[in-house]
Amino acid sequence: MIRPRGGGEHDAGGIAFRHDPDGFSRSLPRRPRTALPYDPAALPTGMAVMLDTSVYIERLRGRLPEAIIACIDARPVLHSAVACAELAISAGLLDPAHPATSGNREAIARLLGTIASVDIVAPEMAAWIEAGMIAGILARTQHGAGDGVRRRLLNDALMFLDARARGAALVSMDRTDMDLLLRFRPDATVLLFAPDAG
Amino acid sequence: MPRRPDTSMPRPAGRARGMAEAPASLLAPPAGADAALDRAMAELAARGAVTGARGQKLSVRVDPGVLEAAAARLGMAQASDVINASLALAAAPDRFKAWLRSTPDRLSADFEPAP
Repeated sequence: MIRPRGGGEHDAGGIAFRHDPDGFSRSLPRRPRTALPYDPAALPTGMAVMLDTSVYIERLRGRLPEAIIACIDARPVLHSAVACAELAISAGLLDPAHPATSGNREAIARLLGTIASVDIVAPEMAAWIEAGMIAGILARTQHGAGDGVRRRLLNDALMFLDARARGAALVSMDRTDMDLLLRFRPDATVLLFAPDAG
Repeated sequence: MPRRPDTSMPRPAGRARGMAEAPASLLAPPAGADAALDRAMAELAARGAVTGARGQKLSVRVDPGVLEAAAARLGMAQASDVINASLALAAAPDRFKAWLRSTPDRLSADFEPAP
């Protein structure tokens, strides 16, 4: 392993190389669904939740399970600036000439309009650096290294690490990426869901 | 949890002055009551609406049953605390949770989020 000159977590090297990239040479095996955190009742009482972009999108598709809605409704909610940015990107990317764009954009705008700025949090410095290393490792070993894949992995890792740092559970539909991210930080709390049939 | 402005309100046990005796179980705030109030006060503080002083005196008539129910919901004993907290929750409701529970908005079937 290439050792950073500093060490510990007092510099960027120590933060990034907390995870040894040489220790990941092959694709990580996926775990079965039964080994993953799908039970809302298992979340500690009072724990805040942070919402991955998939929560908002599946709600707007009418496919967010009632048990997940109830779980979020009963807890303090942290909205990640990363998820808000992903929603904004989607709204900005929509083709103005497409007949569905107006309705889709208005739906996203109304959603974003309900999120008070005091409820939005952004990842701290250490989360950015650690997320970069994890995204790089996963892009190499799991997915191939395309720009879109790296960006998606970086955003997922940012939300995952930020939720962990704040003592919140990250709610997500992304079973594959969350399964992988939990290998790097097994003490993080994640709540997965499968969407209802549309 | 994100750092909020110091807008906490007192939450003593007991019942509001002038309210009927209520079972202790009703005076325990439900999970999430403090968090909802904290976020409402934080949002009002961010808007510059919180002065930090209770300088306005009101003389109002309220339904005692409603006041008692609010006191139980909030876990507060003093009527001033209950009314101030209730006003904060009315002024800064969690619009996201209302949206989460009941939005009629739907994305089109061909919508794909940005990669």
